[in-house]
Amino acid sequence: MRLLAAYQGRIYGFVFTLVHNRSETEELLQQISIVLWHKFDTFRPEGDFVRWACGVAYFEILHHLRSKNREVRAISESLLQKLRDHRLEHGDLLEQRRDALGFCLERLGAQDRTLVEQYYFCGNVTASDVSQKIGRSVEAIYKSLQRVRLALHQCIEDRLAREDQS
Amino acid sequence: VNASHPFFLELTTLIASRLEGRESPESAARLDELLIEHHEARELYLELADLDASLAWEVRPRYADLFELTQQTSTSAAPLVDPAISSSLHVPVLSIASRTMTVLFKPVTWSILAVGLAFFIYIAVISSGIRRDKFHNESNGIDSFVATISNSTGVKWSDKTAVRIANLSVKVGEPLKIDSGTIELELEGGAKLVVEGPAECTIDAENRATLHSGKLVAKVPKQAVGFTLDTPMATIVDLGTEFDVKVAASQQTDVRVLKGRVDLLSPTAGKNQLLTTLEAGETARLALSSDSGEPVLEKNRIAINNNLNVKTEKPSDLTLRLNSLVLWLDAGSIDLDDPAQVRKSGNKAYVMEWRDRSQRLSKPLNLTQVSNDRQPLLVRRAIKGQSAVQFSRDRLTCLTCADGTLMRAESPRTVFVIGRAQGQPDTLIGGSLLAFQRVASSDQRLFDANHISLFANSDSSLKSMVHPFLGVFRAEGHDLLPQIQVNGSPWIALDAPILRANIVSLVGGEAGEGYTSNPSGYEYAYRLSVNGRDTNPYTLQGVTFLPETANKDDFQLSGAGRFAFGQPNWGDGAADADLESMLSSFAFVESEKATLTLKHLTAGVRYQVDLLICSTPNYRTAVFTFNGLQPNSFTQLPGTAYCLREIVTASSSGEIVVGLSGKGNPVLASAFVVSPAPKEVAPQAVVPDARRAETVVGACGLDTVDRSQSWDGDIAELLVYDEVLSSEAIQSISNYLAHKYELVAMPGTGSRGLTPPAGLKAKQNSDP
Repeated sequence: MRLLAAYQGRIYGFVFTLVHNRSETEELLQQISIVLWHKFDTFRPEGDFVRWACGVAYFEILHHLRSKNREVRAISESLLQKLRDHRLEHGDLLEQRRDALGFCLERLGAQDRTLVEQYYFCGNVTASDVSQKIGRSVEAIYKSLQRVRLALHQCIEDRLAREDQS
Repeated sequence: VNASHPFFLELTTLIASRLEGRESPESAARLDELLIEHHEARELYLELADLDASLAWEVRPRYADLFELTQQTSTSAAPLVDPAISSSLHVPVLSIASRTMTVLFKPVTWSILAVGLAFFIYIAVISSGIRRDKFHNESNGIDSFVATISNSTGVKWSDKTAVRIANLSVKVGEPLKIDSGTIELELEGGAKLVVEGPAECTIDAENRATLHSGKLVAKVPKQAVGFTLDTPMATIVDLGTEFDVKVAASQQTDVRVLKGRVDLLSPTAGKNQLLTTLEAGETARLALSSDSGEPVLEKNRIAINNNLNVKTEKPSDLTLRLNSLVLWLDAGSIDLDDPAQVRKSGNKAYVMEWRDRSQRLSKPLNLTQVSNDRQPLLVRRAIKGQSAVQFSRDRLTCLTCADGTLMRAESPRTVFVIGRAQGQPDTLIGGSLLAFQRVASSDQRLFDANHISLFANSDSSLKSMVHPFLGVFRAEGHDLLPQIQVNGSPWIALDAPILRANIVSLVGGEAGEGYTSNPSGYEYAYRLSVNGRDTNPYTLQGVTFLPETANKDDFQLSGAGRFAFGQPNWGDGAADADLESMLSSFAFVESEKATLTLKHLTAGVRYQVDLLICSTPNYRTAVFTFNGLQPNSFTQLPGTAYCLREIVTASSSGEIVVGLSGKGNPVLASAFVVSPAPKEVAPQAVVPDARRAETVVGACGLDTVDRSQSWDGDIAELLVYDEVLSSEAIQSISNYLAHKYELVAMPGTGSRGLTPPAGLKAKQNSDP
């Protein structure tokens, strides 16, 4: 399962975009890994591993969302499909963005970097955990997070645009 | 997706709340709709979601070295990871921390400082100029956003390229020039600036700004104390305040303190020389002398008038003097120099007599204590610059008035208390204003037959109190306390008969998931670990009520049923005990809907319905109907703790249904229907016999039995009215207290936030 290890990040991203909850995503990823392991002989070596894995993952996600029975908010299946298709179609672009992310992270201010670190790098922390750690209000954390996210997003856009020109 | 896309702002907000797991059903539906319809929306969503995913999953290992590197190369400004390491690393920073920081440290005792070292140093680093210079110059990338433009009216920008309007973020040093209109800036540090054009300013750090010219008002909450504003002629260091500043073209600088205090420093005269400290109501003008060309300081006291959208009118204490005022204790009125009132010992002042200011009864209810050992301490500047009387649990301090006739028999009361629990360090909950009440065995009320007793100690008792009244109790600028607030002021009114339903549901929750009654997740953060890490789907719902307050035939609970399994474990620690005990009487059921129905309404009677919801993000719907119709102002519940109140006048007989529906993540809710006694039962909060009533504040008599229950902390002011006040009266008294003690009103509570329990006849009061 060297392939799985190599592409786990992409599959995580795929699951996360549809489930948008970190701990659920991690749990699902474990299940999916097991399913992938069992089904691996149906994968053709010359095929696109990520596409195949995401196909398997998609059914696990559907199953998961249905069993959670969150009918009030569950993204309708047609939307899920749309997101899935969009994602699979533009997988390479997202991969480029991930590369640019490293560049942009380096350019983040120290405080913002701390925030990213506290929120994203320490497991499934919530904004209130971070808030307690660094002594700022939860609302401030959310605001800052959003600002950092948008800043990173913008930086990635700029970076990709520049790469296209050169 | 272009930032100028019409949906950009809305979309990014919606996406953020989804990724943060705190979207409401409406915003979820709206986002789904946008995502389905717009290709670009999907694109942006995928990009942002993938950004989150990469940060959470991939970046950690991939860029770990990058982050370690930063920490090594820039020790003085490195993010803190391990407090133990970082505190040793950062100690030198203390010595070079700016004056701003010295101010910040001042009120902190050393023991607290030792514990909180890492935390404070962290603040010191980011707030002092060190970080700004070092990082601002080094990086040309995307760092250094330090403020957000939260509001703007009629703004004309001098320089079109100046601000990235798209996400309204302001960078360090970015020139903000406006020709006209106002902008409202929220600094990362928490300070809020309202800049009125024409003006030019820059934000220099998360807690520092420069006003080159023009006018601004600074509102500085507790956490941003030390906020520094530079002007060409002065540096203003805030000490917890609200002030406005005007810089004229001649550089003449006018500073006016509306609340709190500021230090005025001169940047030109040597190194930050302290020119003066301004108190509320004082102004200072710095102008260049026409003779010497040197700056000259002129200081004045002024009547603050309402200008620049700052609310400063001070309500008169006449508003408090209603006919029904029977007791008014104001620590500020205690005369330090009167040996009949105060006993001085060393530099301490002990209260021998606390005089009643009400002047309403033939005999004032002056409270006294003759025993030296049990006299409470008078503390000046205890709460927002106001004096308070400090009661000590250990010393069993109390003040009494043995033969006062406080209340008419059979009369309900409305009570206002401003106080603060002991043991909350100033740095943490400096302004936490708590009103407490006795928690009697049968129900919760401030009074028993003959006493006023101020009870309760810590947050845990606060919890049990907040529920029945949906009272207030929030510290300024602080979210450690439940954010349940009624126009920023404590309000306790005595209970009318209350039908209460506590609805608890744990539906499909995950092990380890927390219950949060406030967004900080601190106060009520109960961990739910059922069978350890067992994540089997389970369903628990429970409903309970206080049956003793009403006739059982008149209401009905649905959703009651069987226990799904044993008593849930609400986490560890003693603080959990009372929620646990509260839950112990619950019957858990499998149900999607839990409601309390109040039947047999009496036509023409006002009913107040409160629904308090404490929850992790959930997707439930608050149910409230009156004869099957939903009142318009009873809003649906958003993802986190929320408090809903509706008052209806029954136009006809019928029924009220209140509760929750829909499955979702865990939710803890309490629903109350405060109603008149359905069968004309007299209100419960009555004094059966007031002939020999005794008034006690502190821990006297019975209170000595259980010290843990007795009041330990400051009381600044206590007002007792011998009736249920009208909502207008409560409002104006609240306004007075809120102004005096700088309580922060939560936006949106509006005038309907404060309402006496319905059903007790509210009388309109007029000033004498």
